[in-house]
Amino acid sequence: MAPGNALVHDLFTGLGILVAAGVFVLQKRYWKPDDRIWIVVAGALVGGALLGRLGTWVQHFDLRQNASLAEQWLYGNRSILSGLVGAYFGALLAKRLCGYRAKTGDMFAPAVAIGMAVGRVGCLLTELPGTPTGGGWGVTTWDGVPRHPSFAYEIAFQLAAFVVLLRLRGRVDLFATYLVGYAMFRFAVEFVRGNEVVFAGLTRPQLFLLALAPLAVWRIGRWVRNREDREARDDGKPELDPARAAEAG
Amino acid sequence: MTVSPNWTPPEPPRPADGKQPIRPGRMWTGIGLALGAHLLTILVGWIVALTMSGEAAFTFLTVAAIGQVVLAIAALVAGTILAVRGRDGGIGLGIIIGWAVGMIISPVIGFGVCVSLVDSQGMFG
Repeated sequence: MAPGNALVHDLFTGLGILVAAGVFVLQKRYWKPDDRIWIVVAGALVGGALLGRLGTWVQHFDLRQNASLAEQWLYGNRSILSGLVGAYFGALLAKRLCGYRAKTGDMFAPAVAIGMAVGRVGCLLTELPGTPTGGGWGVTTWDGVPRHPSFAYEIAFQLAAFVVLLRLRGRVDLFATYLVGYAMFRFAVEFVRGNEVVFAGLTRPQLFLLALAPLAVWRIGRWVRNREDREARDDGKPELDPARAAEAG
Repeated sequence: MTVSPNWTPPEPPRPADGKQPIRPGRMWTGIGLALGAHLLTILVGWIVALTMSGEAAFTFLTVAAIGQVVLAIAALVAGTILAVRGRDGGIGLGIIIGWAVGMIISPVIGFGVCVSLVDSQGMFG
């Protein structure tokens, strides 16, 4: 990546963060008036930044092939997938530390989607876009080979996700919906992204997503149980489980 | 019961610890300070690499890495202390948020500077 490309990439990353911050603040009417939300934001950003930078550290099964911590910090790849996981756990930890009980995922999800759409423009303009394709929509870069514009696919996905998330507000758990949707999309797009295939025909991001699948199932299961408990309460029926009802409240 | 059209929602109760509500301006100040510090680590590394003899890119990376470590410790410690003990916690939270945002952006700028230093020494032909 040439220096000019690095600046273009950074410009769009910065723009993506600004747009995400703007969308987050515009949703202020959905917040409970509580300053502790900023502690949760800080936790999410710190978790996302740390794991985004260190997430690709242990990438070889033979541990001797992995970089040292200092090398990873300085030269290692950045990963949006591990960054999202870091942001999720950073927000959870911050909520525990400051005692903030309200749900926050619904405020983060649309902001993350639109921020990613803008940030990926930088990737589209500066990185090798994907595997070679014979389709007319392939983009040709410096090597003269038409390739899948995988970052353009992702920008389209993120924009669609942003619109859908705004429409689904209040009906589903937006953050879980977004994470599951993005995980499925990313798993599929990895087949044309051009990343190194490391095991069983799968790339590292695909293996990472497979490893996280049980967490997604648990998250969705918890949301479904909480919704059932709420509906049972609303119908005046006895609660399914007092412990779970307390958790849902 | 009727409600006057001039009725407005009451102010939320003050937090129990007696802290003032966070002022956005103070938080933006903290974010600006942290982002400025990130840029400073790159700028200092660049200037040192240009003024010292030897391999410029290696010198830049070493100085920038030391700067980043110092910045990480300073930002997280000062940010946490100011967030907990500060008047409203705004500057402290801003420093932590700004440090994290800078962490996301700064590596690519650093990489660009590094490539330009290598290029200026004629290593790319």
